[in-house]
Amino acid sequence: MALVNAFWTLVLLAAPAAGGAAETQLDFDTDVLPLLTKAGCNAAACHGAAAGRGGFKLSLFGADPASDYAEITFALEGRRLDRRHAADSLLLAKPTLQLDHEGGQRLEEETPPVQTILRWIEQGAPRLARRVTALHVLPESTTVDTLPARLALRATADITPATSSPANSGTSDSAHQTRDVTATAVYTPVDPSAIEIDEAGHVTVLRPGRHTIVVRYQGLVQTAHITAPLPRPDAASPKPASPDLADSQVTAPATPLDPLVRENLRSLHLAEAPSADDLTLLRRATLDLTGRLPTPDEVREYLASDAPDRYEQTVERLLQSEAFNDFWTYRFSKLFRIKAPPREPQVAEAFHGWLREQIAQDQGFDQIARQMLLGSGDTHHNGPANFYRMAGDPLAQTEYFSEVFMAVRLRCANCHNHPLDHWTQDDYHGLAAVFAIVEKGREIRFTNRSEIIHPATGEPARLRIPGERYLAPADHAHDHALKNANPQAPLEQLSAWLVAPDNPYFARAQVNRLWQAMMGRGLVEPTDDLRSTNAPSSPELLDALAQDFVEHGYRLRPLLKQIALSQTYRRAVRNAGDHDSDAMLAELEARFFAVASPRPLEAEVLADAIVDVTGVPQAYGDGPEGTRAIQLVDPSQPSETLDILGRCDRESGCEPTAGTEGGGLSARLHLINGPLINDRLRDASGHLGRSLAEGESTEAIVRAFYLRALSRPPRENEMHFWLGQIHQAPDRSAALEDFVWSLLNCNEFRTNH
Amino acid sequence: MSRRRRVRSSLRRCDGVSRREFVRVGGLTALGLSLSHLSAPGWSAEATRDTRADDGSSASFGRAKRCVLIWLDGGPSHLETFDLKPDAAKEVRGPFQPIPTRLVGEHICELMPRTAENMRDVAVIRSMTSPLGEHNFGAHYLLTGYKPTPAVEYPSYGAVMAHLRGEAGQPDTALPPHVAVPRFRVGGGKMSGAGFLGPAYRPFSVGGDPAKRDFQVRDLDFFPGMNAGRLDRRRRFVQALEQFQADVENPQPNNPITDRVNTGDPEFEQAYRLLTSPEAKRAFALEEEDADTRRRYGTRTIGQSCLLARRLLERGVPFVTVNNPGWDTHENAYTRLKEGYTGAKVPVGLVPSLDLAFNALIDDLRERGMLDETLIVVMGEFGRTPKLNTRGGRDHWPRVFSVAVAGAGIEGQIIGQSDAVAEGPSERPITPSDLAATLYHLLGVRADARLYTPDGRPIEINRDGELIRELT
Repeated sequence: MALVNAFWTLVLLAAPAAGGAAETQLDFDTDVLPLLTKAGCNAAACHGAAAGRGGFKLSLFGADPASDYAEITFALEGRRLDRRHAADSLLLAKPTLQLDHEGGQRLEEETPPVQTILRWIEQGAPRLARRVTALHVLPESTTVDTLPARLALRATADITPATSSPANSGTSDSAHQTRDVTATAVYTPVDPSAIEIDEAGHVTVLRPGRHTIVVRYQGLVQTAHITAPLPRPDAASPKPASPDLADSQVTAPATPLDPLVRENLRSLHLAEAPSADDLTLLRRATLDLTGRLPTPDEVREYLASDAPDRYEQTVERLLQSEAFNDFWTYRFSKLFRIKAPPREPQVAEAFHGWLREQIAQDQGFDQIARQMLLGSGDTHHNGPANFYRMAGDPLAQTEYFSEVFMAVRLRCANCHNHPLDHWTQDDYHGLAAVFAIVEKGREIRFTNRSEIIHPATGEPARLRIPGERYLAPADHAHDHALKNANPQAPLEQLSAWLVAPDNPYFARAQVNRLWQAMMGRGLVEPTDDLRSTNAPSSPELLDALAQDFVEHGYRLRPLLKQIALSQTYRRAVRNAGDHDSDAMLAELEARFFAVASPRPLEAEVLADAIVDVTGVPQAYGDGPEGTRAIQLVDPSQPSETLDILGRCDRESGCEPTAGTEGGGLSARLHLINGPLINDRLRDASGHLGRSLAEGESTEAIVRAFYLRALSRPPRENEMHFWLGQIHQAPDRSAALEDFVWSLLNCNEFRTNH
Repeated sequence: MSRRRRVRSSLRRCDGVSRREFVRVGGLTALGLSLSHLSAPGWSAEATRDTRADDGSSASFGRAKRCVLIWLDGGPSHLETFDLKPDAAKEVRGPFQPIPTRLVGEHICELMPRTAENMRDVAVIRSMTSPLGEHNFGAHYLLTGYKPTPAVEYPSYGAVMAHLRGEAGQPDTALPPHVAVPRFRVGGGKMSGAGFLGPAYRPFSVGGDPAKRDFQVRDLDFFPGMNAGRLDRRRRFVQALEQFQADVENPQPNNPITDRVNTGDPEFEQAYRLLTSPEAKRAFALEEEDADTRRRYGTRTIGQSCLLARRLLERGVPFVTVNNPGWDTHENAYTRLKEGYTGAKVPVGLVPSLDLAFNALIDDLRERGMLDETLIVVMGEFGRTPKLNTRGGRDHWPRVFSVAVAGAGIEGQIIGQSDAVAEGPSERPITPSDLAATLYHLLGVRADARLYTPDGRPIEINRDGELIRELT
């Protein structure tokens, strides 16, 4: 308690305005409600719950002052306020524990918040409806030096007086003002282990990195960013990448992306890794762009080429390949969660087939989205219309749309305004109302019949572009007029807004995903959670990528090419030997792209790679022989192997979060002891079986499998080891099986590095 | 009545910043948090103290040596299991009647006669409450004690127990420390279960259905033509490849391959140990159990899964998740909860099957003298709506629901209450975080002990949870 009092004393000293002696007229919205928010009264677990608590219901974090005011002043026959004995008001007696309160003590008597509320009740508990129009936090962005570092945040709010109305004429409403709200704003660090912050906005920075603090005040959200660099690196030069094979390495010229990444690294004192060796890059780019390993011929050709731009040529070749089309169709099928309803395989086939055409012709993503949003007719034939078959009712469609095209988790706003973003229930249900015009079935039709009831008002929700505007002016009747004129009109407006170059979500969402696909980690993580309070590791880079994407007509290939040719993409992975020493440094290097992040091959890619290395195809259901796992149209195509390896079932989003992939012990047992690899090693028609039948030398076999599995020739000591092992084994073919088996079970094979 | 009555007995926190956190913020350095502290990943036993009630000294601390979690995936209806409202309107009380239990005056659902008989050993919390009514979110909260955030995926109970056992040294069994039967697919399948502890702490899913005659664990028996000797050679080969790679990345002169005792890959090593231990593999041989025992647990998957769980516990596995899907009963609740299929003569629905399995496990463990050291938890991600919907089901309802715990010396009792229509807690609200604090306490894990994320962020085992004193 002493601490609490000390805190408020400090606040008083720091912000005399808040306790000013002049009898200013206090207002519910701007003086009282923020105090209740700060005390936690309207948190989700307390009275902010959808059903309230203990018969007292407030809007979550004070999002709806009008209803909160009514709840406090009128509900319960007005018993929550005692205007004659203000101190006996339930509103104060409960949180100060003068009366039993399930939520415990939230406010301390004799402190400024209680005094403010008291004075407000004494003044007649008015609601002047002053509005908070803006929230500012200083410093918005800052860099600190040695850790732990301390600094203080200051929050101010712009408050606009209520437009004068007869109700409050006679009271002197203060003019438009900027008020210090440092004491009443609510502070939440995104990473509490890096940032500690007290109620008065005093920050202690504990860890290096780039940190975000979310500041809330009366429905508005702002963020403060703090950069805490590592101690300056010592002069020791970074270790070189793999010493052999690096001789032909040419330092790649910087692309426009590289300075943006480098700027970040400098500000954090992070050293960048050198470029990976050429064959590692060949393997990495082939896996990232086509989802398969380079063939032994491709490896040999690459080694034989002395063209200075052989990497650039390879990237170009990969971008134009059929394998690229297959792989990116697979990637986008996962994004769009393509899956057939029971007994309607045509749905997935039509959608998948159409998508592959779009990718093959490098259709702009804006056009892809537009066609999907406006797709109608027979879904067994018109691929994009299946956008509407992938989600159920209009609410599900709303969430699917926002996640896929905006990378926004709008679902929170179904039941309440999003507490960490600006999304409201109006946005959610207004968008759902747009999708309500879609009549679903095998035929997709647009009708004007359906509507969505807004749960807060009980009235039909008005058509709305989320975060933006209502489609029709004034009222619901205009919505009808709009739909009657052209049922499709709302969808046309929505798609025009979505793919407009200045849309803040669409391009960013996609480039963040493309970056993540290439680099193993998004600029924003998770990649389906873009919001102001989830800051990108480099906002400038995200903006630059988005702008580039728009300028190149939202096409995949130019952006992927730009990334693949960057110095950032070409960096080596962190040396394994360094990993144990400093995990925090490793994480920062990966997060800010100072090094390449190795990642496990995803289920389908791994299964295909095993098929390629062994030369024995895998049958998937009744699909044609030689079908690759990434070509499967529907994840419900039975495959125990893919299930164990951890394929995405596309029931909900498939977006990986950095660091949580990997199949666990079951997947490992399967690779070690299951049929996937073991059956293939003994198959006479496979690469090993044929090499043995043709009497190839051990050396040739070892070399060939190194090229197939690791995309590089064996080093001298490796070859020496294998020749010795296989020579001394009593059963040569068994020893060679074991050799190939070990290649397929080693870390170098199972990761993209 | 005096309105100046002061009630200071319980400083229950809601959400928001608690007073305890407030104290922490001010006293940062006093807590011994320093950067040097943060670089070591893993477990810190010398964790710092704060004002939490649990100092690990009470007799119940660590009473459970092992745990079975019977996870009712989808969200079991509290109104059709442990919290019936016979006096409420028809659409609230639903189709089933309450029956008396061994606890005087306490009733549970008529579909659970064996549980009623065992209630002296079962504690039911009727006032669980959470704000999260979506499967993924709810499952994350219940299985970790933390609400989900985009910043970090928290580890589930099983992963924490597995991690702690790994820290304690080489276990005396080759069995994985967290086994999921038949598989760990909870809350829609987005949770790995391991959280930030990483893939090595994922639960091991046995894969097969223990209720099937030909049940076996996938990929556990040697592949035809394989034997221990050959697997050993393969392991040496992988070890050599890992060594070659390490040498390239971190050149050391004359680094002989034989220096390495294993592949350096914990997951590979774990798989290897399991494959080469006949004793460990026997744990999965349900056919060793006599017919009576098998029948006692019920023929359904949940029953045979519980039986397999008992075999695993006996052999030193500290945590088994029996995952029972199907509790998301938005429609046809009567058939799904009671009969199992329309017109069943003997009901084999979700609730009777749970009743059989749960109580067979209690009885069996008691007979074997293991019950007092084994914690059994029965829960799902939330409850169901107080009113039946038009499709004869109930929808998601997290504001109040029930959780049952048994074993570990817990006395049979009812903790907390819901209101007249089971819509909210009317007495003693308990959060999943409180439950986590309590379960960890019983399992001998201090709530303020810390785990470290891969990048070294310290995370307390539990934050904000208060011990449920009736259970400790």
